[in-house]
Amino acid sequence: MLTSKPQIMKKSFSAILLAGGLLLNTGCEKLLDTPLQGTDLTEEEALQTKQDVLNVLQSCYDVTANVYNGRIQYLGELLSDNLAKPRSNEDLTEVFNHNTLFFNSTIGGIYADPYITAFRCNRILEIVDNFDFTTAERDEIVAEAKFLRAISQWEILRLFAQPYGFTPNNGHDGIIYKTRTEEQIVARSPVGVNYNEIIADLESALPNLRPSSDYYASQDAANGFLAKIHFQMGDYAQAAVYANAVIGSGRYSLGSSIDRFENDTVDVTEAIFSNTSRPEFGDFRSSGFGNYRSDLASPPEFFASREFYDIYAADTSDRRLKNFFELDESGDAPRVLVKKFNQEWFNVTILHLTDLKLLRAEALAESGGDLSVAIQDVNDVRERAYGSNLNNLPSGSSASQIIEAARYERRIEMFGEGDRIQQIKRRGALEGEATEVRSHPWDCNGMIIQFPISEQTTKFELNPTGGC
Amino acid sequence: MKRTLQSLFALLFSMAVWSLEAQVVKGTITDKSGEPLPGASVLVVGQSGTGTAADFDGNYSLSGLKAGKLTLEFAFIGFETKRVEVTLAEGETKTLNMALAESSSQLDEIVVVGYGVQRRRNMTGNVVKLDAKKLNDMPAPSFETAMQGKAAGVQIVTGSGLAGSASVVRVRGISSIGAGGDPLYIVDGVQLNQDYFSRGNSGGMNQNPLAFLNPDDIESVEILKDAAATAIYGSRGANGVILITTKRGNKGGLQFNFSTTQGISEPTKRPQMLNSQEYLQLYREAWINDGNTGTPVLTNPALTWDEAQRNNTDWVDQVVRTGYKAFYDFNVSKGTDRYNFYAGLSYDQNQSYIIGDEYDRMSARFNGDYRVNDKLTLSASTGLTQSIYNRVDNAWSGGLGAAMSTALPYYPVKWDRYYVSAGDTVARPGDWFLQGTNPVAQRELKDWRITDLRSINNAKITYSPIKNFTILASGSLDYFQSMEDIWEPAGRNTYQTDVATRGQGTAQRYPRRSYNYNGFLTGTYDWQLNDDNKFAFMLGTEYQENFTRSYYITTYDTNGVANGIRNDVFDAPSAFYESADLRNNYEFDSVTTSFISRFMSFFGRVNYQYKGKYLAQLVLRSDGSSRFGPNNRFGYFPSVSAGWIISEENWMKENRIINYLKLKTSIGWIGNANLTNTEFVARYNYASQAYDGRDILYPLNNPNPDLRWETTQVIDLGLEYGLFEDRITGELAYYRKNTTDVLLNVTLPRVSGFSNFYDNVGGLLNEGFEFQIKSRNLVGDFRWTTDFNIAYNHNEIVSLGGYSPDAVGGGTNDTRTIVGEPVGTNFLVRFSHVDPTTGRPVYLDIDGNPTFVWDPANRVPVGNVLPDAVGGITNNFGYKQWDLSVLFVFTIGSDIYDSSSKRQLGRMDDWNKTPQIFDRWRAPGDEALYPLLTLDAANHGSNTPWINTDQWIHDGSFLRLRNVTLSYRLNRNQLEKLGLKGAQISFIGTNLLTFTTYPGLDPEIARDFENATDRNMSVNITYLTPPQERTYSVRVNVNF
Repeated sequence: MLTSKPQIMKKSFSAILLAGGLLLNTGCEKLLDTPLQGTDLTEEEALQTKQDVLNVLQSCYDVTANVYNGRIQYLGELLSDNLAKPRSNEDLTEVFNHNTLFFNSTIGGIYADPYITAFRCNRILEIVDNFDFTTAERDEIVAEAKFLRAISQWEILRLFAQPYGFTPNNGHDGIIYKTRTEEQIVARSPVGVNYNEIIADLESALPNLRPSSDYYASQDAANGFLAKIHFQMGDYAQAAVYANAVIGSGRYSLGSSIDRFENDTVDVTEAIFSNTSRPEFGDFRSSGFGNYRSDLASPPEFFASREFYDIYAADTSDRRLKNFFELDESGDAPRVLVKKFNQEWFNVTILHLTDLKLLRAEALAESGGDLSVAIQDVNDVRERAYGSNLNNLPSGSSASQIIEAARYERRIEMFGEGDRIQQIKRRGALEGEATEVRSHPWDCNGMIIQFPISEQTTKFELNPTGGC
Repeated sequence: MKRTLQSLFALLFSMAVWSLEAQVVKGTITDKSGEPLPGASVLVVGQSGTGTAADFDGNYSLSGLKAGKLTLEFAFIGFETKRVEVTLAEGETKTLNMALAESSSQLDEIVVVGYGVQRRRNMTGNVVKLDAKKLNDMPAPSFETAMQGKAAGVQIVTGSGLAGSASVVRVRGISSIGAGGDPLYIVDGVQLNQDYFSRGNSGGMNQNPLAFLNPDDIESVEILKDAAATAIYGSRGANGVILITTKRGNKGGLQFNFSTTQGISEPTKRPQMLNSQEYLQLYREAWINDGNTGTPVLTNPALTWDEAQRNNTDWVDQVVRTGYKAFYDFNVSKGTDRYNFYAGLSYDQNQSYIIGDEYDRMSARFNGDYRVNDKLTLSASTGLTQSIYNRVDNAWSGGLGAAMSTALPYYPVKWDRYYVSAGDTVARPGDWFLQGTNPVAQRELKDWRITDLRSINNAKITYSPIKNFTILASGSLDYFQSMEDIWEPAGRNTYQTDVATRGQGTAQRYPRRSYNYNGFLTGTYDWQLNDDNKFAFMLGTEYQENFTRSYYITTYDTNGVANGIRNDVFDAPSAFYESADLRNNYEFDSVTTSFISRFMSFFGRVNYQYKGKYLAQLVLRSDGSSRFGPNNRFGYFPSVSAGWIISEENWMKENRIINYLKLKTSIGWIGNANLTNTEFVARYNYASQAYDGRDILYPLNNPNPDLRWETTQVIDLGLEYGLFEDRITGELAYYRKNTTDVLLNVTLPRVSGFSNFYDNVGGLLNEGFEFQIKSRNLVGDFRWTTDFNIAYNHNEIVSLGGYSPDAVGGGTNDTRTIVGEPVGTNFLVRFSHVDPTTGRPVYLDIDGNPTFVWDPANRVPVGNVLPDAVGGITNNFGYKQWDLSVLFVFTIGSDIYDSSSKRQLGRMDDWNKTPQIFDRWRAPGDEALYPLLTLDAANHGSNTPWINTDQWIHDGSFLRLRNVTLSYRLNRNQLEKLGLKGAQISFIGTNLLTFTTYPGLDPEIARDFENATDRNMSVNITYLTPPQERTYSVRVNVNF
């Protein structure tokens, strides 16, 4: 039978319509779900078991270890009067000059990492309830995630915003404190709000953390950070309470070694929270301190400032100066070499007993607490430094003598740890001490680090430019 | 009676037969210069089916004609159709030679459009057609460079002078920021896999993914510009579509064609750098300016001051040569009623003017059609290309770039003494100088070769079950295999080493394979309702899949068996990765990445004509793609257009001036799907024993499930005109392209936890005019035609979704995106002057107040790299067998940012300087262009020598004599003596003259780009980019 022309046409068009329809129907839509190639996994594929969630949590520690590998610490040191001008690094010289520009890629890199931690922690918090954890397991994961995002972002807050107390109501610009993974263009929060957010996270984490741990979040670590945070806020009584909780645990001692930057083979008895290097896996987490190394063929990038050296130089019985610093007068201008970090790798002690003891001493003195405890704290540190009690504070020393002594010890004890600048700012903001660093007042624009240009949006205002 | 009848029939029949065979018209069809026009048709008007085509000598013969008056119509593509009345006596054989005039309006030419062809007269879209002649008038390493200046609204920036570098092609401005801005290329219906970053920007260059096509194989290129033309390509049409049709056999006997081009290449402008004495003199001046005394200490401690003064290496001389180019093409073709074929072979040896840089291409093509019967035709098109690209580093990576920067004139090429450092003898006399940049050593010690194999294959079945109805099924494969091999020897002369790792050699191989499958099915039906109403329907469906896999393999050798590695890697019978011997014998890292993307589409088109003068077209395409996020899997792309051939109106028909006038307009919504594949899905990666010996899992991105194509609303208004019987023809067009959902690769605030995020947040506007005119100024023996086009484009970023100007970074980050400004805005600190008292540069702060401090917070929009207008003017002169073609191209109103000059004219350090630095401040009171020389950037107000200011912005407008071709064609007599059917010799010069105020090397700049955003934003930025090449060539073309 002959098929008429319109029929053929109709059939053919129907065939094309059918083919097209088939392509577009939902069955074929599956075809458009192409698998990820290579080693990438979708979240669905990646997060199937409880262990997978723990592995994501481990990745937060991984990044945190990098934050504390010396980089976040040296940004603080460069702002302070502890260091001389860097030898050649232009980006770091900007920090030293108190005039960081928003194109500074070194700063951009350091600034980014704590927020990577925050994203991962926040993602964990968003999905943790989808997994079959026991309540205790879940609570601990949540606590660890909150601890890590809190300490990471506090480090940023301390460097990129003026300190607590800079304005009476702490309404000056702080940072964006990330608690969700959602992309949002938002403004910076006031510093006061940031402190509340950080404290709330740590407080909420505290009860569900394990009591102590070398490299993982613990109650001791959370208490230690809370002590430091309250100390920075001038809430000295509360700072002493948190410090007591750690010191009083009896789990930590100063030991005899003045070196708290050691590898795993040495038990750093005063370490409360550290990162860890594992050379057997090719995993080294102290590279930022390599800038100080004075035992290599090429000259170091960082030298201690002459001003710092001269404060302690007269005290020849102080093992810290002798062991950790050396005046090199071989060149045109004398330089102070730093020997403290002359190791291929070590575990970076992030939180330690020395810090908390000196903190408690000062906090007790400031808040009218038990001065004998404060004196003992200072003397514990001194006895280790001098190997004797000859340099001890006499009992009955006044609060101001204790404070002065604690500050003297703190500066040399925590050289390289980024602490000095925070003390200058705290004392400037809360005590009106008009400290200048290289003739720049503690509160000038350049004393905080400029954000990377990437942060600028229609809502996020960068720090004022122009240095000091 | 019966016999009588039989006799009568026999007589009548024989008379009929006699009558059929007796009247003949024959002759030769030529052009006005006497050149035969093989394939030209002769038809008897009113006698459907009576006609023939001229053979290769232009000869035709029409027999079986009726005696009496008849009208013959002579026609040939590209020539004016001519009708001649003939009166034939019974039994007469008439000779009628016909010389056809070239058509200028080409109104009746057939234009390839998406999934079909249309007659230009009936089209409502804006399509530029460039035929083979226009593409072959100059030697071009890749066909797109030959399009420059010939199509209104199509901006082509030729890649740098490097042999295999990619051009940047933009149709009607840039309508994208983060997605690819290049048009879609389709070869014989096959959508090409066009990856400009298959090799990243290694060596300071992006390799051209289009260079595999032999330009001589191309029959025509159609550039689809507006929505009416491109909507049929839906989500991939927004940047315009370029359809490439390769040659097929024409009707006639076997035809052989051979052509060759031989030429030389040199830079359009040779970089001028300081010699050693000049450099050292300036260095000493800087040393003293900085308050130093005594003999200056050089930045490079390997050489003493005295030794430096004795050395004087002209590094430009060391890397530049006269390049040699040789091209050979041989093809054979034939066509009959039943079949046709075209088969061709070509070899192109393309040396640039940079020593060591050579792109060689061998290609083969076979195209054929076989008509099984009246209803069924089978077609095949296949092309195979093997190219070998011998590479050298350039731009920021070395080569000429090094000669213009860190290869200082006081460095020797080789040591003439022992060099001892820290007690070790590092170099002996005759060893390469490796203690500073040495582009010669780099070139000689590094073998770098990219071997590409590309094959594009297409098979089609055309079936017409009934008249006017055709089904077309097409299947194709675009296969691309690329092997990049790099070898550097072990031993004391290794370039890539410092003292610590001296002696380490490397062998690297980067295999890459891509498969691009494409199949479509269309049905078309031409329906004539009545004399006044005609419809054409087309319906189709398509599937496309692209799969790319690449490897990274590298092996290091420290045992001094470098030659073994070299041979193994370079001469491996298959991919290095696939060789068991190599895998077993050498340790290497292998990383594999692969990508897959799929498109499924459904489309339709309806054309309607009323009374042959009112036209309308409706197009709709639906695309589903794996590239779109799960929330936006399917996109719909419609267009509506209309045309009115005003000159067909009765009241216009008598107009003596205007013989053709068509008004057309269209509106459509077209997409751009040049997205990365996997940004919408949350991706994780796993690392074992990553921290504290424990495994980690970590997210790689913040996913965007809403990710989708960009949508451009295109409005087009066009006027086609023909004046004075088509002595003057052309087209005028206005367009407005409003792009929404502009894809941005946003540099995320780091608070997000990631550095990048793909998001559809921006808005972009392109608005412009195009004007094209072709005038046949003189006809007759002396012929002169002028073809002029200019396109003005206004580009503006309408929105950026709240992100800052710095949020959208290309890789090289040369320009910024600012709402209210065009894409590619120079956002820089303003340089004011050099302070006559101190010699320090004075900048302007954000309020315009002078300051010595360079602070990026003071940046303002100060320039834009996009041109206001581009165009070209071609003049063709002909006299007898001579032809002269002169093409000028021009660019108006673009800025060039000479990013290299901030170092070449900035701080005195480890960069050589250009002679412009002589205009510098030297003593108080000096009014100079450049500040005091210093070794310390702080004296220039910054911590770093990378001081970007508007001092390095220049007007990039230029007028360039792009091409001059003088040709001589042999006439018939000459050809007969030689036994040839055609022969032509041409003398060709390209980039002969450039008129510009730009003080740098070459104002036509396509630097190396890191990614698609860069390619959109950093055109006209030069960073040690090699200048374009000037070539002189001879081309010989012979038909037999």
